[in-house]
This record gives sequence, structure tokens and C-alpha cells, in this order.
Amino acid sequence: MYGLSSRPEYARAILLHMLYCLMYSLSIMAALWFHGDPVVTLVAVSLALPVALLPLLKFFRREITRSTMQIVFPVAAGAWLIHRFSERIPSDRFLIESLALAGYAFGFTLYKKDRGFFMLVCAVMLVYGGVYPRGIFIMLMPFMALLGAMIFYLSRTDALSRWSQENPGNIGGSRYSWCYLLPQLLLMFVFTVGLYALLPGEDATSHGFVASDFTSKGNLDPSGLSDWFETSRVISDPTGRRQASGQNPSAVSEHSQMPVSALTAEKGFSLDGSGSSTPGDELVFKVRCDSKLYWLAALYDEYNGDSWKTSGEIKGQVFESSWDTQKLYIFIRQEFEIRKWMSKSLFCAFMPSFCTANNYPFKFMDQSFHGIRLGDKGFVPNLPFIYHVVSLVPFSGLPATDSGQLWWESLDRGHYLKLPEGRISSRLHDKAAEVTAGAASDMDKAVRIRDYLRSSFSYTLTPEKRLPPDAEGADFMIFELRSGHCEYFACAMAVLARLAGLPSRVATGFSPGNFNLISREFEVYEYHAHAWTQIFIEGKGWLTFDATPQSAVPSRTTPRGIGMLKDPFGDEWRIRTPETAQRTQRQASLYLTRSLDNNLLEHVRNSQNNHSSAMDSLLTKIPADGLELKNTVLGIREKMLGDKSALGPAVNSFKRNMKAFFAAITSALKRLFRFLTGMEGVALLLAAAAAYPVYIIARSFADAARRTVSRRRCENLFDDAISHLKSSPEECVKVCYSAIRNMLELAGYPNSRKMELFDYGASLSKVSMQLSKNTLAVFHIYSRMSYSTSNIDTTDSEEALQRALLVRSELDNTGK
Amino acid sequence: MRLFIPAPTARGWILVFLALASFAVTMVNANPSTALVAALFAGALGASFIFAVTSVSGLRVFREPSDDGCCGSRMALPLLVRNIAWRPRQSVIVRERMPFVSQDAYTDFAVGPLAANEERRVERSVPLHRRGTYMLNEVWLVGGDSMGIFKASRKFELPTELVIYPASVRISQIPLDLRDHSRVFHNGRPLGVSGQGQEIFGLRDYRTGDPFRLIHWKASARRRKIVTKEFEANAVSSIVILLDSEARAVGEDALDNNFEFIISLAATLAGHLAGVYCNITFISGSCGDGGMYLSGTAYSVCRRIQRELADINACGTCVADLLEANYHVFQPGSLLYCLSMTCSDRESRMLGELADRGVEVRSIYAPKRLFPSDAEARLKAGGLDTEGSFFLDNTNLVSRVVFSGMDMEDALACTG
Repeated sequence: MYGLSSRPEYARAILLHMLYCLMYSLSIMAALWFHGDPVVTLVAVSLALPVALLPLLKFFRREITRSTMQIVFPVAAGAWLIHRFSERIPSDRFLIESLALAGYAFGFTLYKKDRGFFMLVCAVMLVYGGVYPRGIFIMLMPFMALLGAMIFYLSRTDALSRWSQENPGNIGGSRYSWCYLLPQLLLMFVFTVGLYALLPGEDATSHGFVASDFTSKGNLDPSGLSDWFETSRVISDPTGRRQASGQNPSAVSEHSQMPVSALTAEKGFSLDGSGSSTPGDELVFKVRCDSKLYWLAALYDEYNGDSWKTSGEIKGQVFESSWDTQKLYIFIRQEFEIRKWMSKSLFCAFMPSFCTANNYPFKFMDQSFHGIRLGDKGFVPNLPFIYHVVSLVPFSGLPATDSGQLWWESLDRGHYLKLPEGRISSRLHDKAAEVTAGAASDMDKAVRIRDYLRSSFSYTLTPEKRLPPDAEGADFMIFELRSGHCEYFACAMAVLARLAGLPSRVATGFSPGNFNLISREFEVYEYHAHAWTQIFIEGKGWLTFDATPQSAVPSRTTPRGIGMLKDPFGDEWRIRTPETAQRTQRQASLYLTRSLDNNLLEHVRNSQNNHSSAMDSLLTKIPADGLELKNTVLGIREKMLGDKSALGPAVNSFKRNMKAFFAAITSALKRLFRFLTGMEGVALLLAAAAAYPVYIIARSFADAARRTVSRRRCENLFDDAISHLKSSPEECVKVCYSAIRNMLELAGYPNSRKMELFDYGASLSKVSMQLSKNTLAVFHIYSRMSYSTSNIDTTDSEEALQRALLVRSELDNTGK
Repeated sequence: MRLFIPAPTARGWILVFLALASFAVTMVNANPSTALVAALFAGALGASFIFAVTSVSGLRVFREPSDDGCCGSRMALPLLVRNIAWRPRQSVIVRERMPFVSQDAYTDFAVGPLAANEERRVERSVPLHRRGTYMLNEVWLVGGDSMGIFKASRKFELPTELVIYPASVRISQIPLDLRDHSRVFHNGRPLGVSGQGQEIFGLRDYRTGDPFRLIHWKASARRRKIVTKEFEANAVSSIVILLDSEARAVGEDALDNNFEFIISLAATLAGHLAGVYCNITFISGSCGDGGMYLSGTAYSVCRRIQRELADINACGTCVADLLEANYHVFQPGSLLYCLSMTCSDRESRMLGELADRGVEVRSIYAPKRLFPSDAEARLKAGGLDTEGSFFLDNTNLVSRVVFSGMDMEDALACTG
């Protein structure tokens, strides 16, 4: 049956078949989980088990049964294809669903060719699944890689032989082969990681071959399954309303009041040692934003020595946007999805300009330049609550003529330099002067203060001492406590900045959070609650300075491992400020608000990496009036993003990514060259060069030790033989035989060719005839003892011992 | 250490294609998932290529002695594979071109993993489907990486000659007595009936069923095989085997056609008669020098006949031409086995004349229509179809049997 002639072959074929079926089910999940029709996907995945077991059943071994099943699945796939086609589902989706069903037709036999097609369908589904990034795909990849490697390993000889030949048999699985498979897997892993790091990881300007939907969740979390099914139903629901069933806020039900939060703006915060962050692990909100920024909840500008408050003056300020002011800023779009209510604040990046929510009237929101809150008159919206914000971030390369306009507040700078009288110690003054001594600019001053605080103090959520009633917070932290949580650092930063003449204020909210590569969202958890400082820098506006030691500001790129290689933001936001980071500043080319001609537009496109020169070019143009500006902006957007056919952007994307790929390779090779020619590289090469002689020496020591042990063992054997000489001749002969075999192996004459015993003894004549004769004599006695019925007496044992001793002396004489 | 440039296997090519495709997708739909897939495929290819480069270095292959074989049976062609390297080796495939085995002519056998300095004897038992003399030369060693994505091949020149004899069956008995007893002469002396004579006719190989008292022990000890005495019998002393080799009459199937069948018949006859004390004359056409003629005592000429049958090819000589060219060979009292593929009037007339002269003619006719290339049609065509005997006169008898797919022994018995 199936051309398999033996039971071991049949057993191996069954094992391979089961592995193939498992691989197939995983590839279906990789392609269709949270992407295709849920029912079909679950059915297709669960079919893998019965298909794997069917060849074991007797009735299934009949040709007609197999042929029938091989027809049923393609027919079912065809019917499903027609049904989905009529539903106006994207064509790639129903095609892959049909392929997943039809592919099972190859899973009912154990023939090599059918298995090959089975694997091919797996590979196609795997490649398809990669186009639609979902968490499940990343989770399944390692398993599929290992499973594929195992399948390939078990069917290795089939692959090396020709198709038409009989199965040469299972040779894999031997202990000898593992020593090749594991290093190969290790090398494969190294290559994969290295190449993955070089490949481009994102492209925000092209849809690619297919418009990938980045909003699907795609996890194995059972609670997410209901979302998946819900999605299918919502599509056919005429109201189109989306509900997240089964998701309750952690602390409250969806209709109850807000929980009281420690971060309410009215209350402010005080440095009383209670800690500023809620020590929780729950997800608070998600943000979709192209820049990595801090999410503001509240600003505090008044300091009384031990606590910060929001003054009435700051609350009353309103930012009035106009053409003249808007041209100074970059528009940063954010989409928030609140998952848990922490307070009434709707978080956003500073400075919020515009906010809208789908199901929440704007009139119920209180928006100011420093934040957005749910109004007291409004209702509490259901979770998850989605709202959109557009924030304004100043251009960092503004010319001096325009930079003065960045200060739009009615309050003067002096308001943000005020410190409580009599509370600030002189040593704090001195410290501020010391830290900022020699600073070239305000920016330099602020960075020095920030780095000083980051590097000189440690972070702790529970400071050893509480702030004494008469002590000043920053002084206490810098000179007494020498540690603290984020509020301490923010306070110290603000105070030192004010002492250095830099307008500053404290902000609270959340740090950027963890960036999910798959969904392209920032996931902000309770432990990301944070406090930081805003400092006004001339020409750059209010910038975020986070003085907290960065190890205490978690911001991972998930999924783990892969995220480390593909972090699109890097650490620039920590080193510079989030507002001045290149990734934030280059948003200008995507959200143009100036009139540009085509040449300049091309210049901007080609010099996206050199954004400062592009900005300089932009600023040379005089903005047009409103209508012309609108037409121009629309035209630009049409050119950049509105290409109706996917081919144009796809080709551009291909070219751009290829350039980036080769640039990454060149950069990597340069870094490698620099490393190898540097101290570390030379040291590594020397170490590698020294490793071989060390290995040789170690091996020779090991051989010597082994020989010593073997020699001692032979000596013991001789002693043993002598002791058994009279009392147990058979035992003596046995021991003599073992001793001779050991000695010959030790001398370098092992029976490596697995010869028959007497042939082996005869082959020793090449070394010495006498050696051969003596060995053969002992072998003869041993064979007689083992295979014949004659008894061994002391004569035989004496002769065996004598011959063994002669062999020993002969080998000793030859120096072996 | 020699390096061998590996090439992708079938799955390797698929993986190459998938790697290129996923790389192209990554360049357009850049996201971590597509990059991961592309990196994984490319990483697998890179690692496999590196491990395949040294997969067949440090291995040696030697050819072990083997015998010739017969069609329809299996033959062992052992090889010795030796690992001379210091490290263990993965399993490899030994490949050799064997036209006598299968249509695509290559056979593969797996050799298990070898330890350092280990050698292993590979017993390659192959079925033999084609007769002939073959020069085996190259043996290929095919290795690759652990996952079979890339393969590297290494060639060893190991020349040897192999003769595959035509298939023959071991027959217990063929009726060799002549029908017309009065016609049997031996040097003018009529021969007696088998078993009743007193004179020892000669010695032959022992056959199952022979009485022990007939065993010639001294001759057996000398020859190191059991031989029995053959008494004067109504036995044939001269047997002629005439083999038709007309190319026009050969069937379509390359392996299983009427020509191969009558060759097998001839081989079976020759093999059986080698144990009988008689003279054999073998006549057939050949493509070169106009004819094949071998004659001698059965025992001595059998091997040569088998050798010729192994290499014989169809040519343009028909049975009638052979009969005419070798008319002098057919002596009264001899037995003629005419193995033909055609049935022409001229041939029938000549056979009849031979029968008149006292030659016992046994004709076995195997036309190509009874050996279609389609197996299903062959089943329909099979069965015994005796055209019967025809009489030239009431003393002449030419028995003719037409059959396909039946047992050779029965067929030969029918002609008796």
C-alpha cells in the first residue's frame, strides 16, 4: 500500500503525515486567524486531526474511499468560493479560504508527491499570512519553523533521491545526524535574525500589493475570539454599531461614576512620598500615532515648595490658531482608544489643537491648550472610547524671525520662573549654576540639568524618608534623599530650570508606553503613569524634559525579541526630546500646510532624511491665500497618496525599500569592518585564533588522560586475570580477551572495520607476526570457550594469560 | 578538504522561489511579519547551503565483487562506503545508472550515518528487467544538508562489466523422446527405450526423482556434484534450437514482448539441456555477420548460448532463411525446437520437409499480437490457443503451440 514495503517505512510515513497535518493546521491559523471567516477557519483547523488519523483506518485504505475524499474537498472549496464571491468579500480572502479547504485533498494519501503539494500550500498560506500582520502570526512562526525543519529532516533522504525511485528508507533520526541538524538550526537562526534586522520594517506611504489592515488583533486570547465573530456579524448589521462585548472596565461598570484618581488636576500632586504611579498592569489606553510623545493629562505651574498646582491664570489661557501661528507647527494626529477610565482627562500630546470623538458630542468636552477633559455635564461614554486629537508640535528649525511667535501665551515667561520666596536654598542655587556652567544655549542648559538628574540619582517608588514639613522638595531630593520617584525628578528638574532662567512647569500623564509592531499602536498601561517637566526653549517652544532615570521609564517594542530588532523609534526620543526627534519633525512633509510647487515637493520627497534643509527650503516660500493653499494641499496629497492604482505607490515603495535594504547592508558591513579593525574586533579575532591551539592542547590532554585511564584499566584487568587463573579459568580467559582488546585499542589498532574476530587478529600481522599469533591464540581460546561445548581448564587459562602478557610486552616495546 | 558546490533539491527550488517572493512582498508591503517570513526562508537557504558544501567530502566508495544475474531475478551489487574524515557523517545516497533495472536508469540507495573512520557495506539488491552486457562506470554519492534543501554530488569512477542473462525457469522435465520410435537412429543403430537398456549412455546431472541406485558416486566426487547414469534410451542425441530474430515480428513493449519470450524459452531449454547428455546446436540470426551458430555438447555450449542470448538483438533474418541456410544441420533423429514469431507458408513447408526427413519438429509460435504493450489488452489476449497440428502425411507431425502468458514448462510439455 502506498508503495511502502516494510513496517518501519509505514510507521515513518504515518509520523510524517501527522506532522504535515499539524503544519497545515498551523499555516491555516497563520493565514486566516482573525482574518478569514471564523467558522471556516475553525473548521479547517480542526479538520487536521481527523485527516491525520484517517490513513490509520482500514476502510480508508481503499482506493475508492480516498479518491472520494479527494474530490469532496475541492468541491466544497469551490462552493465556498462561489458563496463568498457573492458576498463581495475581498478576493484574496476568499481565495485563500478556498485554498485552505482544497489543500486537504492532498492530505489523504501517504504518497511523496501529494505531501509535496500539501507542503506547498502550507508555504503559500504562510507567505500570505505575513502580509497581514497579526500577533498570532508572530507567535506561530517559531513553531512552524521548527516543525518544518523536523519534517524536512525526517524526509531528507526522500528529497535527496529521485522521485521515481523506491523509498530508500528512513535513515534519519540516528544519533549521528543530530550533530548536524542542531548547528544548522542555530546557523539558520543567526541568518534569520541578521537578515531580519536589515530588512525594512515599515512603510507608511504605500499600500503595497494589498492594503494591509493593521487594526486586526489576531491573538489566541479567548476573549478576542468573540471580537472576531462579532466583526463578522457587525459587517452584516445594518446599524453598523460596534460594541466590545465582554470587556468591562477593571474598576467600574460602564455606567457607574468615575473612580477617584490621584492624578486629578484639581487636586494637584504633592511630594509626600506616596508615589505617583498606580502600580498596576492593566491596559489604560492605546494610541495610534506616528510619533513617540508623552501623553499629557494635566499641567502644573505653581510651586509652593512642597507641591505643584495649576494656577487659575494658566487655566484661562486659550490658544487661538491662525494661519500665522499654524505655520510654525507640525500637526500630529493621534487616535486614542480608552480601555480603562483613570480620570476624566482625555490624554493627548501637547499641545492639543483639535479633538473629536465618534459617539461623544464635543460640547461635553472641556478643551484647553493643555488638555482635554470630559465635562461635568456630559455622560460617561462606553468603553472602549475612541477619540481623535490633532496636536501641534513646533518646528525645531524655525528661523529667528518666526521663532518668537512660539510664545503665544498671555502669561509672560516670568510666570514660569517664579519660585517660592525663602524656600529655595542657596545650595540649590549653587547647584543650578554649577550644572549649567558653560552651557552654550538654553537647550544645552536644559539638557545638562536633565542629564545631571538622570545620572546622579536613583529611582524608587518608596523613598526612605518622607518630605519634612518645612523642607523644600527639590532641595530635599537632591541633597538628602538622593533618590525618588518621577514626581521628585520632575519637580527637581522644574526648580533647577527656573533657577537657571528657563521657563518650566510640571506635567503629568503617561509616558509613551509600549509600541506594538504588529498593530502599530502604543499600548499604555497603568505602570506608564508618569510626571515630567516642560521647559520653554526659545525657537523650539515647550519641550518635554524627562529627568527620571530612563531605566525607570519602561517603553518596550513588542513582540519581544522581534521588537528589539525593529524598533522604529530607537532611543532618540530619550536622548533628544520627543518633540525634536527626527521622526516627529519629519511629519512635516506629510502634513504640509504651505503652498509648494512641484519642484520643491520633489526636493522634500527626496530629502526626507535631511529634513532640516527641506524645512529651510519650505520656509522660503510665501504662503498663499486660503483657497490657493487648499487647492495646493489637495493637489499635493493627491500626488503623494492619492494614486488610484496600487502599482505606482507599490513600485515606488519597492524602490525605496530596496535602497533602504542595500543601505542597511552597507551600513552593517561598515560597522562590521569598524568593529573588526577596532580593539574589540582584534581581541575577538585573536581569541578565535587562539581557540584552535587551545582546543588542540585540550584534546591532547584529554587523550592523554583517557590513555592513562585505559592503561590503568588494563593493569587492573591483568591483576584480575591472575587472581582468577586457577580458581576460575573461564573468567581468566574472558579477562585476558578484554585486556587484549583494550590494549590493542589503546595502541591504535582497534577493530574499526568491524571485522570478524580471526580476521581482525590476522590483520595484525601487518604490525607484527608475533603479535598476530599471540592475539589469535587468545581469540581462539575465547571462541572455543564462547561457542563450543568443550571446557576451559587451567592450561587454557595459563596459555591465555601468557599470550596476553606477551602482547603487552610487544606493544610496550613498540612504544604504544 | 574538497568542497562541492551544492544545488537545490526540488524542495530547495520551491524554497528559493518562496524566499524571492516573500522578499519582493517585503520590499512592497514592509511590515515585521513579511520581513520575518522573508528572513526565515533566506536564513534556511543560507544555512543549508553552507552545510551542504562539505556533506560529501571525506567519503570514499569502492565496488565489491558481484556475480552476473538473470532477468526476472534480483542481483546484489554491493558497494563499500568509507568515511575517512575525523567527524561523523550524515546519511548519503549512492546513485548509479543501471539501465537493466528501470526506465529512467538511475537507482538510489541510502547509506546510514557513518562514524569517523567507519566503513559500511551497502548491499544493493536490484531487480533485473533487461538482459544484456552492461558496462557500469560511475557511482554518484549524493549528500546534502540536514533538511535536504541543497544536495551535493560526487562522482566515483568504478568500472565493471555485468552480464544479465535472459530469464529462464528451472524445468523438472522436458519430454525428449521422439514420437516415431522407428525413426530414431544412432550411428545406424536403433536406440532402445529409456530405462530398459543395459548400456550406459552417459552421465548427466542429478534430477529430483532419480533413483539413488543410478547415482555415479565416483564421478560425483570428482565433479563435486551429483551425477547419475544415463542408460540407452529412446533419447534424442541431437537437439537444435532455432531462434527467430526477425525485427519486423517483434512486439511493441520494450521489456515484455514476444522476442524476449522466445529468448527466455531458448535460455530455459539450454539451461535444462545442460544437464542432459546430448548435443545442442543453436541457430539464430544476428545483425552483423549473417548468422549465429553454436554447436557442442549441451554442457559445454550452454554457457556460450546463454551469453549470446544475453546480447542478441532482433535483425532482418526470418525463420525460413535460417532454415534454408542451415539445412544440413537438421539430421534425421534429431529434435528441432523452432522458436518463431511468424508463421509463413514457406516456413511451414520447410518444417514439413524436415519432418519428412525424420527430424522431429517442435514449433513454438509467439506472435506479437499476443504480446500487446497494454497490460489490459494482454490479459484479454492470454490463454492457450492451440492451432492444432497439421499433417503433411500421416507420418509427419509438426506440433505447433501458440500461447502467451502460460507456464514455460507446460508450454514445452505441450509440444511433446
